[in-house]
Order: sequence, then structure tokens, then C-alpha cells
Amino acid sequence: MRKSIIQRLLLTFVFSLAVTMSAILFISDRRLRVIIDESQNQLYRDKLDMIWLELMIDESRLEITGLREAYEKDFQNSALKELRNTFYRDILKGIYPFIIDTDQNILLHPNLSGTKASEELMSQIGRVLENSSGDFNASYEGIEKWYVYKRFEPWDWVICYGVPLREKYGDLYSFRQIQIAIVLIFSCILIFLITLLLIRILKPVKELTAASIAMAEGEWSPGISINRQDELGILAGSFNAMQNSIHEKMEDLTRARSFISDIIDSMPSAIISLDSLGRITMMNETARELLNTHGDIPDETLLWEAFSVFEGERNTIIKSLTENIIQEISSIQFKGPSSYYETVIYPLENSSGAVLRIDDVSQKKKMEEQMTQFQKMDALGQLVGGVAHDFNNMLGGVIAAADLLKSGLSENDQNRQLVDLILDASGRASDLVSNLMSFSRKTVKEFEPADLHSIIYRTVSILKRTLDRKIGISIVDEAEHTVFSGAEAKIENLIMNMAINASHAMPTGGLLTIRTKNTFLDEYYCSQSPFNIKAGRYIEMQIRDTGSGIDPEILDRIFEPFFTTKKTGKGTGLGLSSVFGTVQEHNGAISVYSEPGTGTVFHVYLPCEEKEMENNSETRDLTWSGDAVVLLVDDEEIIRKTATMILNEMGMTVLTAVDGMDALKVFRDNNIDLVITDMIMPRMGGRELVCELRKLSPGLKIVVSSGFTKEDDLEELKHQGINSFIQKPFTMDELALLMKDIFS
Amino acid sequence: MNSSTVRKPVFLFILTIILFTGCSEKEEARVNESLPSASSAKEKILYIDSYNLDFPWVQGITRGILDTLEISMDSEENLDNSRSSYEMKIYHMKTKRNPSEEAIHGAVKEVLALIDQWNPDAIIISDDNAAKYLVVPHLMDSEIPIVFCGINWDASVYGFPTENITGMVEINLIDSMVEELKKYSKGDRIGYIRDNTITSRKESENYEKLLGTAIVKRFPTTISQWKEDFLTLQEETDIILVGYPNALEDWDGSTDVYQDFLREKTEVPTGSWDLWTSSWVLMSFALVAEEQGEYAASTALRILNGESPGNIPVVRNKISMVYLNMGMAKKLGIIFPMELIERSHLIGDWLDE
Repeated sequence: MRKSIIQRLLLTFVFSLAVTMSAILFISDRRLRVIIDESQNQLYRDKLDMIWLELMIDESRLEITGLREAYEKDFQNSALKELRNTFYRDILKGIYPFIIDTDQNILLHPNLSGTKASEELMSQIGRVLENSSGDFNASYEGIEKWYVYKRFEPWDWVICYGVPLREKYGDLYSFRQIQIAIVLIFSCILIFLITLLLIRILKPVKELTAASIAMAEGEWSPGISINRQDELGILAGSFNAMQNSIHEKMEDLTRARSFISDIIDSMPSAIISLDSLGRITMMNETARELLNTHGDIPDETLLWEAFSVFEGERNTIIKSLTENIIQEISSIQFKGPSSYYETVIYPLENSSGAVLRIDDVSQKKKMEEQMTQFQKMDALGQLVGGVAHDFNNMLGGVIAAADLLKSGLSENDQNRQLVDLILDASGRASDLVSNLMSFSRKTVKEFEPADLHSIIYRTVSILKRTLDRKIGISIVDEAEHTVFSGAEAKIENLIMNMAINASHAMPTGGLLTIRTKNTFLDEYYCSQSPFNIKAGRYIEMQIRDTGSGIDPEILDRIFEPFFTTKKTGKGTGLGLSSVFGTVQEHNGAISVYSEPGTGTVFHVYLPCEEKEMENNSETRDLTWSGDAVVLLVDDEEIIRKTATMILNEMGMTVLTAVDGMDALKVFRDNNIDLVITDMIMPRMGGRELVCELRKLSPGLKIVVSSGFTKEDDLEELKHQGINSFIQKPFTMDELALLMKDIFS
Repeated sequence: MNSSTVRKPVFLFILTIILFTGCSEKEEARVNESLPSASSAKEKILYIDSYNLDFPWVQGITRGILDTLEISMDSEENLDNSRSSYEMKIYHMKTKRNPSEEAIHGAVKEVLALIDQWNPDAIIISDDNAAKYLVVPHLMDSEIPIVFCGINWDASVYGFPTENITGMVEINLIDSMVEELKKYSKGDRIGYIRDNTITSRKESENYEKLLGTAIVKRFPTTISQWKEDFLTLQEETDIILVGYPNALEDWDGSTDVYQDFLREKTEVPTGSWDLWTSSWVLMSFALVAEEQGEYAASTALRILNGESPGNIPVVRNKISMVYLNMGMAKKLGIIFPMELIERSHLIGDWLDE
């Protein structure tokens, strides 16, 4: 049992007090006994001397008579009578003088006068006959007495006093009782006062102790209020300062840990730390998501035992841990063959373990593959262009020769039909070559400002006559700046090709939507794009169908020349490759987003005509800044990164989540002003997320972002209370306009 | 409040007390200077002695008075009444040393002048001459109360007591002594011997009255006659009362002549009433002079406290001091009982010297 400092001090004080008081009592008792012995000795010797003097006076008077024989007995009796009258009238406390002669006759005694001293008496006091004076202690009739005596030589008498010790030391005993009572009372008062004093003095210490214990147990006290000017006051002040300092440090540490944890958790890389034996010590959220584990991992669990996916690289990991070298692993398949992950093992210093960083490089791989495809197509274009050019030249000769030959034939000449066949075949071959040359960008650039809306409306009027009537065509011309530098015919061909491809994807009918809008492609977007485009304002043209969609496995190949999914003879496989070439020729870009069973949307970006833009630049202010907290929800890392950069540029604080469930967690832990969410995500999509967020915060601003969303879906989401919609991929201008609309 | 602000009023208070005390003392001194001293405010008692301080009797009376009044006297007869509530003056008329009429009248005149000048509140006189020469002729009607002591046997001869005069007469306790002597004598015949003076004759007559029996008296004038008369008395009586023979014509003042004679020639129990004769006789019942002085002083105080002298009767002395001459007893073969011995002064056995 823990003893308080008050108990310890009190016990020490009481013990010291008891020892001191006992010593004082003992010493004073001894000293008083000596004093009483001396005073009693003096007192009774004076009494004896007084009796002795009385007897001596009688002796002198007896001597004066000159007749000792005649008067001696009378004088002695007279003396005894006088003594009896003097001392036996009132015998106090059993103390009286008595006289005994050398013949052991008791001459003077309250009860025994005239008798012979008993053997018992003489055995106790017989020594009085041996000396002229003295004193001793003896017990007579059960009473301890102090005997003091003096011999009266002339008559051979011994004068004695027997003083009971209880009387002799009566004052001592009384004094001792008083002293003990005083000491006890004094001690009690002193202990009481000391206790009060200690409680008063140590109350701050107790408070300090309680506060220290509370602090040690992790509880935070508001501080100790001790208004004293002594050391305890200073100690309390220092303690408060220390506590505040520790508290601030703890808060800083907690914030730092939370910050670091947030950083680690928000990192797109999966982070797993291991100890020197390969046991898991920490995993971030990305790692848990990747490894599909959300509970606590038991302590001292080895990585390869917890997750079998690492079993194959066990030796590599152990080697990195033991030899302290960085290892890269790219062979671990975390999510099927179409995903690619890069795992790097960074050993920690002092061989205290290692950190595994696992990155999803699927997008990177895809980009690399796209780049490779682009390069292949570029090379193919060069080849096709060269062949087409030569072939076109040769075909020109054939046509020219056929025209010449035809002009020399009469209308009825049977050969004229043969020449027309040559010219017809050459014409079709020329169109084919023209397409090949478009893909290879070998056509002559005769660019001039053109209005995209005019081209679209003109082309759509043709399409409406040529496409199946089951296919509806819709134009949403939202772009304000529609002038670009290019060849109208090529863009007409581009729209025609894409519309025809779309109609082929909708054999039973559907909706073809052509939407335009202006957008700004920033440096990052441009740097990530496989096309050679520059940052700036673009006209975005979306061509969307509601067809069967494109199989993802062939999505990367649709722009290859002669690649077709149609039956032989049904298509040349040059439609989309021609589109690809036209886009490149106009310094634009094209991307495709398709969901099998839902449809496909192509995004064509054409750079705005700068002159025209300059003339209209003052009409819209596309800059905006704010300090809101935005939660960006998207499973595409590239979207999260680009959007985060754009929003940060605006001054926003951006938190990210990879899906709806992750978003809900982040939303609960933070104060969010705006949520921008994708629609199609793993685990929890945008629709469910919007429902959940509305339950949590009915007034929350929500924007849906999607690359492909049906109009019906948008209407439904607007009904659920979303504030706006933004098409992916979005640009800085688009986001700025969105933020302006939302927060204004 | 700091300590200096506390100390300041305390210091001023102490200073005030000191100054006030100093002023008070100066004021009191001025009063003493301007007024009679404090001692003069005390009630004044004048003691007039008939004789002088050389006599042991006078010394005893004086001692009794001074002790009662808590006044001390040094060897040069200076009085210190600092402890007493009374102021006192003593005047010795010295009528024995200067017995002439002229000297006595001179002393009386001085006393009267002193009374006029000092104006005492009470007067104590001792012995007959003061009564006879001073009080009776001059102070019988005085308003000053008078207490007498040492007047032998009968004060009425002076007209005492009066409304303003009372006191104690001096009577030897001779009857008690004769009763004791008879226990050791062969018969009841009593003899008396002393010098031939009026006092002796008057004394012997008083003894006769007191004892109620005739006494054989001898009043010798010389030492040889005294010795012869003593021997004759031993033959004629069984008990001899021996007075102090200080008026014998040829006495040189030494008592050895009487002591040696009586120690050698005494054959019957002898008694005396003087302390100075106790070593010559078998026993002495001496008067105690202090009793006279103490009574006179205490009576004077009673009067000063408001009691009227006329209401205080004249009294006689009651205390005697017994002296037993153990040598004489041994010579006469007398064994005293312890009761007597216990209350007596013993005079040593001189027989073996």
C-alpha cells in the first residue's frame, strides 16, 4: 500500500516527538529524582538536626543541674514527651520520627514506645546502630521506605525517620503525571497543528501528485491553482508550464502523427513497414485496400504469412532486410493480369526493418503502351503515306491516262465502258489513297479559320439523311468559342467517320449526341497526353453513342489503320485511323471512353483560334480562388492528381478518396465544404455516395464528375440534390467556372 | 503595515510614560519640600522614661515599646521608624542618675517644652518618677492621652486612672514564688532583706499585703550589716526573700560580694524577684520588663485608634521568668520536679567550679 508523504512525515514527527518526549521525561525524572533525593536528604537531616538539637538542649540543661543521676531519666522522658507533643500531634502521611536506643528499645514511636524492637524491624533497620548517621532504603511491613537516621551520642539514642518512598517521591510522581499529561496534551496539540500545517503545506504537493498521475495516465488537467509565493508556488507554476508545454508538444506530436498518418494513408502508394524479421509493423490505407484487409493484423505476423501474394518474393524481401539493399519487384500480381504494380523495398537504417512501397503502375504501363502504339501508328502512317503518295501519283497517271483515253473514244464506243470502269475504280482507289494520306497527314495543309458549329450542323444534316432513322442525333452546342484553324472538309470527314462508327455500334437504334464546349488544357494534362499538344484553350467536341461499347481489350487498337471488327469487305479499317490522323494534323487530341453495354464517347480537342480568342478573351473571367475544403472522390489516380493540382492552385484544401466508402470515412473525420465525386467506382459508386452524404449533411455541396453519364442519370442525380455536374476530363477553366458557380 | 510603523507608536507611548513618570517624581519632590515629610504625617508618640537607658529594666520596657511599634533603634539611640506607622521620640528624665530636685525640675521643663513643640498624639511614661514629677503636677488635665507602665504596686497614689490616663502597674509575682519555696522549706516563716530605702520598705509592706502574713524585715545600710542581717534571718525564718541591695553605702557595684557570701552561707531556700539576684538565690521569679513596654505601646495604639483611655482599666503584670539555681539546689539538697524545671531557666552547677 502506497503511503502518502503526509503519513510518512507525520509518522516521522510522531516518532521523533515520542523519542524526544520520552528522553525529556526520562532525563527530567532522573534529574528530579536526584534533586528530590538531595532536598529530602537535606530536609530530613534538618529535622534530625532539630531533634538532635532539642535533645542536646535537654542534655545541656541536664548537665547544668549537676545531678545527672537524679535528673537524667526525667530529662529523657521530658525530652521524649516534648518530641511526642511536637511530632506526634498530627502525623502526616505516615511520616514520623522514632528513636531507638542501642539496646534496641523503642523509645519514641507512635505505637511501639516502650517496647523492644522486633527481629523483623531490626533486620531491616539494624544498620542504624552501626554508624553515627546515614540513610538507606528498606521494606517494612510491605512498605518500601527510605530511612534516614542520626545518632545522639550522649544518650546513645538513634533518631530515625522512615519515609515511604511513595511519599518521598510523591511530588515526583505527581509531577511526572502532570508532566506526562502536559506532554500528551502538548503532543496531541502539536501533532494536530503539525497535521494541519502538513496538510496545508502538502496540499499543493497532493494536487501536483494527482495532476502528475493524471498526466502520466494521459489525462489532461486544466492546471493547478496554487497561489503561493514559496517554492511550492514556483513548483506549481513550473508544473503548469511543463504540463502546458508537454500538452502542446503532445498535441503537436498528435497532429504530426495524424498529419503523417494522413499523408501516409493518402499516399497513392501502398506502404508496409516491416521489422528486421519481416513482421508487419504498419500498413497504410492504400496497402489495406490493395491487400483487401481492414482489421487489425496480429502482432509479430510475418508479411508472407499474412498475405500469400508475397510468398513468392519472400527470399527477395529477406535478402533486402538482411543485406540492407534496395530491391525492386514487379512480378507480384495483386489484381489480375491487367494491372501492374511496382514494389520497392527500402531497408531502414541500422537494419531495423524495411519499408515496402507498392505503386499501381497500370496507368503508366497503359500510357507506355499507348505511346508505343502511337509510335507504331506514326511509323505506319509514314509508311502508308509514302506508299499512298506514290500510289496516288501512279493512280493520277492511271486516271489521267484513262481520261485521255476516254476523251478519244466516241460515246458509243464499247471501250468507253471499260475506260469508265477504270476511272471508277481509280476514283475509289483515289478516295482510299486520300484516306490513307489523311491518316499519314500527307495531305496538304490548307488551314484557315473555321467554325466548328457550322461544320457540325452541316455534317449532321447529311448524317440525318444517311444514318438509320432509329438513331437519334442531338447537338448540344455549349462552346462559346467555336472557331479553330483547320480544314473544314477534314473535320467533316472526322465527324462523319465517327458518327458512322457510332451508328454501327447502335444497330437497333440509339442516340448520337454531339456536344461542344470550351475547355482549357493545362500543362500537366498536356504533358501526360500522348499527343503533341500545348496548353491552352480548346474546343472540346464529344461524340457520344448509346451503343454496345467497345471491348476494353481492343480499345487500344481502334485507331490502327485497317483495324476493324467488321466482316471482310464491310469496312476498310481506315475510318478511325483517318480521324486519328486528322486530329494530329490539327494539333489536337482525341480520347475515348467506353463502357461495354452502355456506350462510347469520344473527346476531340481542337485548339481555339487565338485571334478569335483574343477578341473574346474579355468576355469571360475564368479565374477563381477560394479557401474551401474539397473532397475529391475518384478511382483514377490521374484524375485525383490533376484535379488536386488545379484546386490547390485555386487555394482550395483538397482531400481525396478512392471510392465512396473511403469518401464517407474522410468526410466523417473532416469538415468538408464540397464533394466532387466520380460516378463509377469500385465498392461504392457515386450514386450511393450522394445518397449517404445527403443523409449525413443535407446542405452539403455535391458535384458529380463523370466521363460518361447518361442524361437520365444526370436528371436523377439532380433530383437527389447534386449541385452541379462536370464532364471528365476537366480542365482548369472548367473547374474554375464550376467553383465560381458553386460558391458564388 | 510594516514593522517600523508599528514600532513608532510603541516608542512614543514608552517615551510618554517615561516623561510622565519623571514629571510626577519632580512634582512629588516639590510637595515634600513644601510640606512636612511623610513621616511627620504619622501619629506621634512620646515616650518619657523616669530613668535612663543604662538600666536593664528600662532597656526591657523600651524594647517592648519599640517592638510593638515596629521601630528600631541603633546603638546610638537613633530611632528608625521607616517601617512603622508612627513617629516616636524618647525622653529620659534620668531621675536616678540626677536625683536632685533641681535636676528633676529641669528635666520636667524640657519634657513640657518638647510636648508643646512636638505636640504628640499620645504619651507613654514609665516608672514612678515620671508620674510623680511630670504627670501629676502638669499633665493630669492634658488632652493628650497618657499610658503609664512600671509604676510599682499601686497607681492610685498618683490619682490614676483618669479619663485620659491608664496603664499597667508593676507587681512582683512574689506570692507564686513563696508557694514554690515552701515546698522545700522547713517552715512558713518568711524573711525579707534589702538595702535601706523607701522603695525597700514600701516593697516589703506590699509583700506582706500580698502574702497576707507578717514578714521579718531587715534593711541594712552596709555590706557587713547586710551579711549579718542575712545570717540572722536564716536563724529566724524558713524562707528568705532577697532584694537587690544596690543602695548599700559601701557597695562598689560588684555583685560578687553578695554572690560569694550567699553561695557559701545559704542554708534555707531563698528567693528573689530580680533577674540580677538569680545567681545568689535558690529561685527567682523575675518580672519581664518587655511585658510592661509591650502593654503600654499596644494600649497607646488602642487609644490612637479611637478607644477612650477611661474605658481601659489599669492592669497588673502577669508574666514572670523563673530561674532555678541548680548549684544552690544541690547545696541545699533540693531536687526540683521536672514540671518546674521544664518552665525554668537553669543556672549552672557552680559547686564543682
